Amino acid sequence: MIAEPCAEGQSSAELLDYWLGDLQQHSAEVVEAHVFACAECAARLADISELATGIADAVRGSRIHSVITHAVLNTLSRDGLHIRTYTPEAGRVMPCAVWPEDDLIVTQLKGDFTGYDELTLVLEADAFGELNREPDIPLISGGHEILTAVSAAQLRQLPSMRIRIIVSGKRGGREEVVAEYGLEHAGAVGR
Amino acid sequence: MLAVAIASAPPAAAHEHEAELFRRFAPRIRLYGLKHLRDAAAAQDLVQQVFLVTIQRLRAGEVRNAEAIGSFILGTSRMIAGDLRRTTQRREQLSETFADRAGVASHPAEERLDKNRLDRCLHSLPSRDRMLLLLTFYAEKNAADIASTLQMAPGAVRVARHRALGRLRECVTGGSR
Repeated sequence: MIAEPCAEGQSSAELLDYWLGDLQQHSAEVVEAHVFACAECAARLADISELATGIADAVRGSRIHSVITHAVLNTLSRDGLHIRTYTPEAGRVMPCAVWPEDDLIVTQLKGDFTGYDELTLVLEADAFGELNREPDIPLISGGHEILTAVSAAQLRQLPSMRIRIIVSGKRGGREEVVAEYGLEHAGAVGR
Repeated sequence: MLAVAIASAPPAAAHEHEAELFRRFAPRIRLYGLKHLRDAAAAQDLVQQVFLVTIQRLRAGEVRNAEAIGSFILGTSRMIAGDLRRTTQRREQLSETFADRAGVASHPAEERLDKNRLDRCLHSLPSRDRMLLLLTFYAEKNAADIASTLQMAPGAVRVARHRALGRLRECVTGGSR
């Protein structure tokens, strides 16, 4: 995103607000009229539109690996994606697998994640070491739940293995493990 | 001025100017359509209909201020979009009745966006940025809703999502756009 305003003073932040419907009607109409008069801002708006569509397509195409919220999860369900959810208990190992019809695997981690300055989510496997690290994950649901979504296609490529999901956080300037969850991944299962 | 040239030239001589006018304004009309009609096919219909009216009115000398053609095209877009919105609503109702995955996935991003690169760039973003973008562009939540979910002020959400989209854009384009 180009941060500077165009030659006529229109900011790209306002173009984004316009695109997302976060402007009052009068302001939106002013931006709209400007876009029809300014080729530079028309190109910037086209960039925003292109990225917006690309992001939505990536999620809809289950090509993501991300911490998500219930709003995103609900939209995924509404869009008809096949979602398999695992809710492992802290300190336990839960068997899991990916089935042919699965689009996304969602892991729901329950715990008390409140009171930490910064939470980090790490995926580890005995045979491969660290698979993924997400520092400073945002907290939702009052800090008692973390939802992650991973593309089933990506998980199908992994062999059978035990995966550890470690949530750590900073408290009083010190990093500590908040909770650890285990998944016994059985790989891709055929019907 | 293109519009003035179209208005004053005989139809056969104005084709080049008309093509140039289309090249300049068709993307803007399409964006207007995408924003207000939320349907790629309807946005494309809007482009065709707005241009038909614009060229007819220019040739007939009915555009009062051809120098401000952008303003005329925007006004025409608003008027025709109103009619198309009703058609789109009917189409959406049908689509909801017969919803399936193919229908949902029928609005691919424009082809110039490299999907693999976009996926890598999305994954490389800080988790907070990625969630903001997912909530904004996929779950279609506004700044106030996101603020409530992530316990941020709405103004902070607007700033953060603008920066997040900027980082994604930088990564996707390699800073070339």
